[in-house]
Amino acid sequence: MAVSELLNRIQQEISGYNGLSAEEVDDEIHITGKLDIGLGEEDKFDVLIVLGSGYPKTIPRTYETGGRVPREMDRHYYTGDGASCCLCMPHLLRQRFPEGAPISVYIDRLVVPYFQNQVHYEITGKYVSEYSHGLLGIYEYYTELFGVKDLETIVRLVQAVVSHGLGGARPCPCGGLKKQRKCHLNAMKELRRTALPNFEPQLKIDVENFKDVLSKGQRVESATPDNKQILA
Amino acid sequence: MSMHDSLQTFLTDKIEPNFQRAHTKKAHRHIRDLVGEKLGDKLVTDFVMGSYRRHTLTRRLKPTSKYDVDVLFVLHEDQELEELLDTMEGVAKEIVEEVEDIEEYRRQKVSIGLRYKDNFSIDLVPGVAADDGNYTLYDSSELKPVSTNPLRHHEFIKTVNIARNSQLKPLIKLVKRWAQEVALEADHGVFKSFHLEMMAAQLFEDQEFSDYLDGLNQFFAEAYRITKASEKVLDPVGGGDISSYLDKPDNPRRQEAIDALKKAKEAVADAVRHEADGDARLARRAMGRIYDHFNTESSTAATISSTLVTSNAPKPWSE
Repeated sequence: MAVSELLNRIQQEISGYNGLSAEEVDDEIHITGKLDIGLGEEDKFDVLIVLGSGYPKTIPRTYETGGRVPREMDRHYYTGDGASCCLCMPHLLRQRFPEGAPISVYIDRLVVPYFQNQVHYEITGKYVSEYSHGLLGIYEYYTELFGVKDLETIVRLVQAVVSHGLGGARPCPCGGLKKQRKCHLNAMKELRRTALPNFEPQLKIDVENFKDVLSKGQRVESATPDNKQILA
Repeated sequence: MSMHDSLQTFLTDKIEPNFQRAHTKKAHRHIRDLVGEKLGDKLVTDFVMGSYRRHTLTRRLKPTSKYDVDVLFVLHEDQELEELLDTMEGVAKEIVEEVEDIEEYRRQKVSIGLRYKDNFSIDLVPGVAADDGNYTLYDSSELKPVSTNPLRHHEFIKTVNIARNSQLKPLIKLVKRWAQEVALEADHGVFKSFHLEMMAAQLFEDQEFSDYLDGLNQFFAEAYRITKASEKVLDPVGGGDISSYLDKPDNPRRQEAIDALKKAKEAVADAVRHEADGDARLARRAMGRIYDHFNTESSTAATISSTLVTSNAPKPWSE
C-alpha cells in the first residue's frame, strides 16, 4: 500500500481522537498530539506514535514527548531505541493488536492503558500490575499462559511451538500422560498465533536462556544467562 | 505555593507535636527529683535525652499513642540490664502510688515507662557511667550494652542544625513522619528514628540543602545508597553501627528498608523535576506517594486500578 493511501486510512482511523493528527514523515507515518486517556484535561499525554515503513506488518512504536515521565526502565521505557514506551510484553503485542486491525485498536488497547497506568504510578508509586524485569518477566508470562511453574516443562512447551510440533493427538510435551488436545494445545496455539509470526526469534532466545539457567542450576529469579539478548 | 512552603505548612499543622512543653517539663523535673530522692547515693546524674531533648519529636499518627520523654538515670553500680531495670522498677512502683497524674508504669525492654493520664509517658532509662566519659546504655533491639553519649548527640544535631540555618531539625521531622507512614502501611516499625536522625545529621554536616524539598531529595538518595550497599552508619560518639538492627537474624528488615527508601527517593526526585518544570500539581501528586497529606487522588487511582483490571489491560513489562 502506498504511503499516501495508508495515511488516508490512518487519518480516518484516528478521526475519533480530537487531539491527534497524522502526517507522512519520510517513509513513515507519524501520529502526534495530546492523547486523552479519559482522566480529564490535565492528564492528557503528548505522544508520538510511529508507524514504520513496514506497517502494518510491523508494530508501531509509541513515545511520550512531553517529558512528563522519566525515561527509565523502571518506568517502562525501552532504553535502546530513543526511549519508546514499553507497552507490554513483546510476546503479547500481536494478541492485543492483531495485524490488519485499525490503529485505534492499538491506541485503545495498548497506549491508553499504558498512560493510565503511568498516572496510577504518579499517584501511588505502584503500577496496577507489571511483569518483572528481564527473564523473570518472561517466565511469569509463560507461567500464566501455560499454568505451570516448572521451568523444564515451560521449555518443552515453548520448544514444541517453535519446532512446529503441535498436534491434537500427539502426547503433550508437558510430560503428562494426556494428548495435547486435552492438555496444553490451546495455550500452545495461542502462543503460536500471537507471538510466533513476529517473535519466533524471541521464543528461540527464551528457550536458550531458560536452558542456560537450568544447566547452571540457577533460579530464574536470580539468573543471569550468557545468552540474555531480548528482542523488543 | 512552592513545595517548600507546602512542606512548612505540613510541618506546622500536622507534624509538630501537640503537647504543652511546659507541662511535660514540669512533669519530668518532678519525676527526676523523686527518683533522685529514692536512689540517693546510687544516682550519679540524670538528664533528659532522646528526640524530646533534641527537639526532633513528631506528632503521633495514632491518637492513642503517647509521646515519650526519655530520662537517663546514671547509676553507680556496674549492673546487668535486668538488675538495673529491677532498681528502676522498684522506684517506679513507689512513684505511681505518689503521683496522681500517672495511670500506670510498664516494664519495657530497656526502660520503665511511667504513663501519664495526659498524652505523654516518661521513660526511666537506666545507665552506667563509663570510663571514657560516655555512658553505658542498652540497645533496645539487641539488648546489648552500648557505650555512647546522648548529650553529645544533642550537641551534634544542634551544631549541624545551626550550620543549616535551623532547617535540619524540621527536615528530620519530615523524614520521621515519612517513617511513621511506612510503619503504618507495613503494620510494624521498619526504621529506628535515631538511625534516620543520625543519617540526616551526618549527611548534612558538610553538605548544604537549599530548601526542604532539596533536603529530602538528597537525604533519600543517600540513605537509599548506603542502606542498599549495607554501609555502616556509625554513632558519632562511639556507640557502633546504629543500622545493625536492620540485619537482626530473627527480624531482618534491610530489604523492606531499601524498598521504602527507593520509593521515597523516586517520589521526591519526581517532585523536584515537576517543580522545576513549574508543574505544582504533579509535584504535589508525587509527594502524595510518600505523604498521605498530599494524596488527594486516591479515588482516581482506585478507579484506574479497577478499570485496568476489569478490562484485562496488558501489564507493562519491565524490559
